[in-house]
Amino acid sequence: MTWHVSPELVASYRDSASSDAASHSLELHLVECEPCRRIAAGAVESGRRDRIWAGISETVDMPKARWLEEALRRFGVNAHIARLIAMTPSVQPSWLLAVATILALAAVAASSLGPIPFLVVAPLVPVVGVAIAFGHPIDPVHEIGVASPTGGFRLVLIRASAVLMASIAISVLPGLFLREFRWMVVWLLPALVCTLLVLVISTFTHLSTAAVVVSLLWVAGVTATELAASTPVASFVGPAQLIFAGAVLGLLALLLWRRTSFERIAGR
Amino acid sequence: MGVDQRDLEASSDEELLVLIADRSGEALRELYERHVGWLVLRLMRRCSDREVVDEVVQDTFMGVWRNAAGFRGEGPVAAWIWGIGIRRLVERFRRRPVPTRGWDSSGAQSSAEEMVLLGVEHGDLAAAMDGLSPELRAVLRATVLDGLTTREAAVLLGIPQGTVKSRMRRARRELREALA
Repeated sequence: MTWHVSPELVASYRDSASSDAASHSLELHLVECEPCRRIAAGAVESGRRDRIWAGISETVDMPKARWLEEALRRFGVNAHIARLIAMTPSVQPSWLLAVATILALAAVAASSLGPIPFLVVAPLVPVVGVAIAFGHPIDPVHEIGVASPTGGFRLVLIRASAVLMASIAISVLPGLFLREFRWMVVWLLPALVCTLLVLVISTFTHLSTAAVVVSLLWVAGVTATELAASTPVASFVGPAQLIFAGAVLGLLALLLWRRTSFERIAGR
Repeated sequence: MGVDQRDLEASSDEELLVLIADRSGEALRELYERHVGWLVLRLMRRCSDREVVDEVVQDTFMGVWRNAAGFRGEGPVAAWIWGIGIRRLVERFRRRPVPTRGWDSSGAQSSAEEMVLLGVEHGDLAAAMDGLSPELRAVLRATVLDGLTTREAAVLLGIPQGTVKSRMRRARRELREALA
């Protein structure tokens, strides 16, 4: 390119005094030309540049997101994926603490109400977690999802697995209040079923709608089973676990079949 | 993260983005210093509110910080940054309308790039552009030069989508007639 901008042109552009043609040319030229950009940088006072930067640097040193990301990378997780996971809202300490508190209350209540409250709530944790993980309006992954070489489906799987694992990990401690070990594990398959079901339904409709639908189905299903069955906690023991296992396989197949629709979903 | 300042200064924009994707705050700072100037000026030509522009610039570089790994090396880094910036500005308008700016209409001529973009032959285009009203030119600028969709242009200019479309049609028709 032989044409370059002069400080005078930049000044008149800044003061909105340049013509349309000159402004258009300057804008397109600055995108391509590093030396001319330096001229433009001089037209913005350094005090203003520093003030803007102060706001950026606050966000850039995000200690919370960083420790998790560093930890994941130390365990050999790819840097790009570690960042995806660390930025998921529903694996942040604040969210996990809230979840642990609710589960602990449900677990403590088990001594008088039985394990059902805990067993109903625990599988819904990853369901809500997944909805939050992709539904946040200023979620940066919105953009990564659109422009990611990883592709929508892998992105969804990575995030959903991270949410699922975090949810299960955080449920261990409150689960100790249950006294009986089996109540700590019988909800794991249901949790997987609910999460997979949310993902499958989300290929047809909005993710948050899917989460609400699945939550209602789950609560209604358990309530109906408990009312109809002759033994307590029938929704979680014996043949119920076989049904859950079958549902996991079926839903996995469905999810694979519907995977192309995630290329658009990641941005929702 | 232990990167020498001199190395950063010698790095290309693309190399800085790789470092930023690797969470180097120093690399982001270097990229910021290189690009903040033109970005502020260009945004100020679209929105006269300084505070809003400063906010949008912050949002833009936070977007760069988060999405550096998403840069695919298509075209210059500055164009990629502008793509983020102009969309942040549109988002900002969507939340709360702020005063925007049209181009001033004095002595308009068209740049060579725009002629190519519009797909018309050289020649009387400058005169034809001159004949357009400022409203029509503002729509052309938002859609052709800023690369916005009809919906985004509507938000940026504070007019309904249908108006953007009809103005685009009118601008095209007027240009065609003037060039015929």
